[in-house]
Amino acid sequence: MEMQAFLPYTVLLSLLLPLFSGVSIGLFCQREITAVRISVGVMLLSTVAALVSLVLFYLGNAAFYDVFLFSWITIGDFSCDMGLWIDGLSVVMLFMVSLISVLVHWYSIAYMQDDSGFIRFFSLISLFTFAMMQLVMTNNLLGLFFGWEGVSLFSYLLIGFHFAKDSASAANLKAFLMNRFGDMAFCLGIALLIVSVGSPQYRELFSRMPDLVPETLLIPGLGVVSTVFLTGLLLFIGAMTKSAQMPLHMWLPDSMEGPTPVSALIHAATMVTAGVFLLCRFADLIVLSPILMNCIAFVGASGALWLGILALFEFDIKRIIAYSTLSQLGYMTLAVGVGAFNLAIFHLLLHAIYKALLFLAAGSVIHALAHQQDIRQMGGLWSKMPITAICFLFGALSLSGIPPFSGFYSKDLILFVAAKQAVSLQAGWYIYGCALLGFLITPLYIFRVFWVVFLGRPRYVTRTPVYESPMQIVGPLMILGVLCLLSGYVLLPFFAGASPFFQFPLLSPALQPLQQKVIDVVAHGLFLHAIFGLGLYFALFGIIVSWLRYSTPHYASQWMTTHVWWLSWPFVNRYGFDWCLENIIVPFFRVSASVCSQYGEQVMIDQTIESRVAGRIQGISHWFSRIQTSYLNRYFAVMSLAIMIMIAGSLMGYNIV
Amino acid sequence: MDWILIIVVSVLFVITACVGMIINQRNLIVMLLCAELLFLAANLNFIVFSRLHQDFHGQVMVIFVLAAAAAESAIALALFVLMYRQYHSVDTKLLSNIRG
Amino acid sequence: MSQYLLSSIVLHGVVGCVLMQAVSTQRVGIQRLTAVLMALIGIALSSYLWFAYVPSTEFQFIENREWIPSMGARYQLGVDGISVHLVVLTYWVVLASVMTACLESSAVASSCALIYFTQAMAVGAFCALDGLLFYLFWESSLLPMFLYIGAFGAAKRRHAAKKYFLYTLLGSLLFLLATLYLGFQAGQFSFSAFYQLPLTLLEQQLLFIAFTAAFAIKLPMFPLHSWLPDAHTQAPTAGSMLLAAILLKLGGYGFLRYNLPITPDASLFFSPWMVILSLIAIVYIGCVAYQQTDVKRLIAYASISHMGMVTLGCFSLYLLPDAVITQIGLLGLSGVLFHMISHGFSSAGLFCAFGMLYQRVGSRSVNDFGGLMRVVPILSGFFFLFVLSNIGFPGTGGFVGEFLIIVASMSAQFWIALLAASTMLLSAIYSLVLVRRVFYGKISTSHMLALFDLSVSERTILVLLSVLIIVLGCYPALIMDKSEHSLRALTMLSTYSKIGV
Repeated sequence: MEMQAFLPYTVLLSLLLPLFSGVSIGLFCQREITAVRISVGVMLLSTVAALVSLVLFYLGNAAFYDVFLFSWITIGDFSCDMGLWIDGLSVVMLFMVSLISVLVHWYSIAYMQDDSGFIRFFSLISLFTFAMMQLVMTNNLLGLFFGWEGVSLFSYLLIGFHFAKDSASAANLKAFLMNRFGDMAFCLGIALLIVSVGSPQYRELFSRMPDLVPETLLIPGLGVVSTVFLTGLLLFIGAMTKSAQMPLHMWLPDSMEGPTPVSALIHAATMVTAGVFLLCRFADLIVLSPILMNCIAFVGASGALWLGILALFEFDIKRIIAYSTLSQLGYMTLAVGVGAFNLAIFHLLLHAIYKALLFLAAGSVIHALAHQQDIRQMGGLWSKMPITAICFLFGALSLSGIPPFSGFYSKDLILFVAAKQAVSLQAGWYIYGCALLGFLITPLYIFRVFWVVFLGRPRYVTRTPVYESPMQIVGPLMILGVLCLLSGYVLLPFFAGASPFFQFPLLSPALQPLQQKVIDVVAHGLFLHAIFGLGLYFALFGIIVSWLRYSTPHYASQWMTTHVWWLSWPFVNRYGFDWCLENIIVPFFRVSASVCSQYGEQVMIDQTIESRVAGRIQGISHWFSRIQTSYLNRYFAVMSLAIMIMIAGSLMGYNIV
Repeated sequence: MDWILIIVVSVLFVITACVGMIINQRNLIVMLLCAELLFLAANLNFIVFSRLHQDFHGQVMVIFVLAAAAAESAIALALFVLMYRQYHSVDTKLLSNIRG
Repeated sequence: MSQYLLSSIVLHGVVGCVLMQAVSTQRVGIQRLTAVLMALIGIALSSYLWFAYVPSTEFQFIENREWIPSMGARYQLGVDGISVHLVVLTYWVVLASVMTACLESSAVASSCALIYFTQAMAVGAFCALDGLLFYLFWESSLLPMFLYIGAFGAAKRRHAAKKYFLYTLLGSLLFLLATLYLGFQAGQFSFSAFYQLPLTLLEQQLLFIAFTAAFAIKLPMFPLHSWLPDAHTQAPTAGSMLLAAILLKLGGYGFLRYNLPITPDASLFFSPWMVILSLIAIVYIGCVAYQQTDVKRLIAYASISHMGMVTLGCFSLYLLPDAVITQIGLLGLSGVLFHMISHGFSSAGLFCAFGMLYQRVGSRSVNDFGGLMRVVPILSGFFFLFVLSNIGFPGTGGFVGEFLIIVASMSAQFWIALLAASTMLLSAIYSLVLVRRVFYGKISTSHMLALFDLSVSERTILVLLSVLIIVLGCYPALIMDKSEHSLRALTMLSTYSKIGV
């Protein structure tokens, strides 16, 4: 019996186990130890199932499997069937999600042990994992939207996990509403695709994608718009919000209000990568519109540089790593925009590993210092927490792109494709320049953290002595550290080799040469290429500069803000995006709501319509009631007059009586 | 005999009663008197025309009308007595509770 | 059996009313038991109806008897794919209402009697196939709700009940005139005669305005909606649940049965106006809901916004390009039906959950709440689930209908779809700001700490409604499969012009 027949079952097992564990823990679990056992055990099973699925898929020879589960809705010609779409992209993402999730589950045992919502936390992260897996594995747009909103919801619940804190409830509201805005655009994109193609199933969409090219849509006021461009744009706006690209990124730094495992799982590895995943899943659609690709590359490159710079001006360790995530997401988006979808996913996977490592290591430090998050209050932890320090160093080197750590492979290749495509894109040199400068900025901020937190004199004040975190916290760190070292080299041939792990079907012919160039470079040896390129040198330069600047006792001197304040002002204020949101967009909504409510409801409807109508009716009835005079003689007189008129009338021949 | 004269008398009675009703502002008893006059006028008419048409039905009608008038004036006077007990007068202005 | 099923379903409510009045002198325990037993019998009846209903384009379980021969009105009852689901919705919501009334009301027997009478009239209206019979049930459903709000409501109940009654009656009078006109033109009052009756454009337009007057007030549509917030804030919890879940759907049902098939050309003529009014309802009411400090008022405005989606789905049918009008129009009307049903459950759930909170805290104003997640976590969880359904979150019932309506309006025009999709953002804004003020944050007063979380019976009601919402959201084929044929027939009727255009 062919092994691939088991593939749908292993995937389904991997998918449903977190759902089962999340629901049962959430509804029925009373003891913390049971919650731990169920969730970690089930998640481990799920990871094993995902690994088995990955191996089975790789050993098989089909490009994808479309598995039908059940028919969700059928109305006439429109039918949406829920099922699994098993191809290289989805099984790889499935495995990554389950691996990071199980490590975070293990980590949370010790990290969350003092929290009263312990059981609720495990339930929520298990359910979140299910939603993310659903997003990745489903075979139709509506299933993807289910998972999309699901991760949004669980992110909301987890950011606001400490519900008594006002900052947490403000942050989760902001995250959910901004994501909801993106979901609105995404929903419109799905609707447009359904209207154009007729079905939300991937199978039909991918096969009919070329037919969409000549179609246009008439939008009154904007003219005739190409359907492909509009759909891609709407999908991109959704992806932009979810993956926190440049104008819609404000929710991510605030979402650091959630506990650190949440940041590691959701805001480093899984939820924020859903946007990039969407763009790669719909690569067929996006490549059909070169203008859109250009926009995507521009937005990604801008985010990569400018959001990275903001990390230099933050002092909260989690926020620095959050801005780092924003920057790296920009790199992934840049790769998508340039057409190297393989590289975007490669960077996504590697980034997930070392970013989760960085967050978890930061969490280890925070936990050891009794929830101190300001790097100015840390220092000299190298001797006290050596394992954490080494793991953090691994992660930092990986992030900066120093070989042989994993980050180097994907970052260097992205820089390479950016350089190659720079001539053919609009503002191509800006894009390349941003990517290159990002290579300098990245080690600058991450090594700033390393020098300040781990070296130097201890600046913290804690009641209990600081020591290395327990095994449950350090274990995942070590595993991720090892993966940091190995994953880049091991995965390289799958993503940039001659036989890539997954083919993007229907890749436009214009991008084939690019893919070929990448394969050539890799075949000739990436190290060699790096020595002749610029990226590695920028990264090393960044490390040296940050050593010089930040490892001295003057690390926190606000030289820039005091002497050259006009240069640092835009960075300290985060380019005014938050300001714009708080002082322009939100008040605009509030004012229009109060105008609607006061003028619209109270004045227009209640007073004008109701009171006037009711008043007028009352006036008329008042006027009529004056007939009731209560004078008997007058009644009698009127009656007799009427009778006389009637008699006279009948005498004269009218037929009254 | 000139029966027309009696018709004229009956018409005069009707006009008097209506005018009396309209002129009378306050007194309930006068109202009753005018109503009785109207009945009388109707009765006269019936008698005259039954004589003219040689038909007894008119006179039968007169008996009915007399009975009805008697019943009606009895009830009206009873109501006036009740009202007098309440208000110690028979002024129409006192009956304005249903004024709208 | 099938011969008398619908009559017995309608009579069940009347019997329930009489029975509740009969036991009103007994102990409260017996009253509660009777009420819940009657509701369960009703569930059994309606489940039998639903399972025995076979999807087809014709009406089933038809009963046809002599009623008023001189006018041509017959006692005709029947269900098709649209009404069978509304009948089932009615019974489930009545079960939840009755249980809520048993728990919260001071006069259990009278409350439940009024609830059962409302149920009978509403079910009768859904099942009626004769115009005059429909009108009879339509009008009669006003009375018990008027009495319920006026007798058992909050401080300003008299004004609210009066406003509700007079406002709805005004529209219904125009509706009566239109029904009589149609009946005398056609010689009989049955719906099939109305559908086949040829009408000139002017006749259709006047009839359309008369019908819309009644249904737009009942639904309610944008300028005529001001009775609903007052009625909801002053009504007791079970009354709000019935009103929001069932009586509002009478208006939507009226649009589907009267406006679309009887006056298709006038619907085409007026459709831009109706779509504009619906979009205003969605956006403007979404903004107004944000400003409310009274929680029940906010939920009332949310209902108005959702009913705006319903009318948008109905009338965007006429703005579709001719090539796809049957296919996408079918999607739109399916979305309308589904949205009505899921909104019934989710608004019933919201009012029920908030009613439990109101009973504990004693105030409806948002400023008196805060930090309740710590004190009543289970209630918060259920309330949050109903809020998710309200904002159209996938996985709950609220998403499917909204999504189908957005798809239908995207086929009509991009801006309509954009404004319709803005409900996703606006409803999320006001709902989540409400959740934040009520459940997150610090506890406002110390006596909040003494609040009890849900009891077993309260939990049962909320679990019932939550399960229904989740089942509808995860498996909408339950409703869609049974209603597809009837909706297709309706789409055909609605797009078939009577004046040959």
